[in-house]
Amino acid sequence: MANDQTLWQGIVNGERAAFDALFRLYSAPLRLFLRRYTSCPDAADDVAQETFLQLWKRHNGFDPARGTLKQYLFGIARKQAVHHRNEWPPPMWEMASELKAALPAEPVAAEDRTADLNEALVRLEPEERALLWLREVEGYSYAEMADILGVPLGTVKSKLFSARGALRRVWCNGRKE
Amino acid sequence: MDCLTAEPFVGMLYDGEEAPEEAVQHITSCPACRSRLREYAAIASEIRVLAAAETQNLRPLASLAALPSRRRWRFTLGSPVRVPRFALVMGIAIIAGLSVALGYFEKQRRSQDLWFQCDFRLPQSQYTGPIHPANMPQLGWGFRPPAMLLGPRPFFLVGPETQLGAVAGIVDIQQVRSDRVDFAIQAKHIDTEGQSLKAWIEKQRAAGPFRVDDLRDILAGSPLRYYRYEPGTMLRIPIEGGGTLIFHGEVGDKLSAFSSQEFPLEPAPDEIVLDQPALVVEKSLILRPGGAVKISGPQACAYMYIPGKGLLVLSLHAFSGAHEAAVDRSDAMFELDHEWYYLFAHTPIAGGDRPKTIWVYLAKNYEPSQSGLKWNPGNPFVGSAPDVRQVLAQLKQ
Repeated sequence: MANDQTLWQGIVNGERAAFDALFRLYSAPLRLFLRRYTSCPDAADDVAQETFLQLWKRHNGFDPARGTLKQYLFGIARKQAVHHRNEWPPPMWEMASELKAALPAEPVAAEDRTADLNEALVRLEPEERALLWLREVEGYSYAEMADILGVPLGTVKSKLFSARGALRRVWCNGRKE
Repeated sequence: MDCLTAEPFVGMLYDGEEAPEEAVQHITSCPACRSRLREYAAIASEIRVLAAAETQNLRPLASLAALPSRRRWRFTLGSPVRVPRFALVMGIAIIAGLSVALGYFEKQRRSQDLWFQCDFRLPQSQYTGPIHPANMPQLGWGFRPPAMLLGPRPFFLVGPETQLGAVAGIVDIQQVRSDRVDFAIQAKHIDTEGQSLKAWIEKQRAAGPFRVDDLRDILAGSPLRYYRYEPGTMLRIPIEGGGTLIFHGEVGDKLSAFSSQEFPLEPAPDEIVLDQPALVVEKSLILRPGGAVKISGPQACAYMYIPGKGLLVLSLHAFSGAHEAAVDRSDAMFELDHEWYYLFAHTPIAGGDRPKTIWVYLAKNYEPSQSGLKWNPGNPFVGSAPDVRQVLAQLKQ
């Protein structure tokens, strides 16, 4: 597997193979993250495409000293997502979460806990969802998440705390039913 | 420091971020905060299950026929874009975790409205007999009944994913005080005739509502045992038909999330802990979190029966036919037969170095039925043995 430096150098040199390798490596995790951030699979895929293309187009922004290529990619994606959100009418983005939010709360059975957690995730603020995803799925540190989301470290801590609190309430209700 | 002050730091400790020493000391010594830590771990595990399931269902993006040339530079942001179709890559990373086990809640209607929370499990001892779920010394799954009032209540301890029933019983909490709990209990191995416990119970219910008295008939012949239990201690209760049940409970003035499994935050260097392990092979979620097993010692091994794959044997030391697996806290990754396996658990899998190498072996020919006992081949389980060589010898038979 090519390392970040090799991949980036290839992209800087305009090598299609490097782009393909980058896409293979990071498109799936990026799309999953964006799905969580946007709550809309179509918007997530659009933003993912825009992100990869921006990386191809503006190939002078990555600094290995500041983090990994994946972290850089996630940072671009987050900015693209905000940009996308500002361009598209909010209902396009909020539809999925509104639909989910409208669903009645169902009893929690052990085998349904993932589904319940999913519902609870959808109800969180986009940044809270994004933080939980970046932390639990991607394993980013607080500092890396602050960089990706462009927020202060304190915000990362407080939003993570709040997000976990919300999920914990759902989780514990399920356990105690 | 109290729990309220320490609360914001629980997540930081869980995430491996720097937290004030005072907070760390409080959290690691406070049952309520540790419980919260376990809840975070359980939630994280479920989020990873979610990620695995979503990866599995992710459709490839439409192919990008041509990237915009940077020399001609005709690309316009916002114009329709096509991106290459590629294989998907798993995007799941590292987290640390702790265990979550099973709660059983009993409320005292008197005595200042005290709550008694307890759970049952089969012991974490090691077993040397045939590899079969019916012989498992430890079953991480159980039932999670609703909060209930005093009185006799049925319980079942079942195999992974609430499949085959192993032990059924009735517990009758008679008195709850802050310093002691009086209860009576019956426990017996039951034969579900090869059906899942759920199917078995439904069959019982088909003849009418399944009541405690129906279970009493099933438990007939097993002795009713009386205990004066000291909250917080581990009690071993004999099971009719063999083995013991571990009973553990705590009294409090409010309900809290509860775990009987006190798997270590940092396993010792000679331990492997699989607490609620889940497995992703390539991009497919093969096993949901469930089960628990801990092994220690140079020869010991843990194993997981993976329906459709075989028996996965894990050991701290190399053995014939084994492949390396890289463990980093609660994650393990390895390649078998050109497939990538990603194993994650609620608690750290191995202690010592990070990442740490453990050894895995997949017995593809293993079928649970080969021990001669009934088992649905679609039902997973976890277990352990003190000597990996014995397991390998059994697998060759």
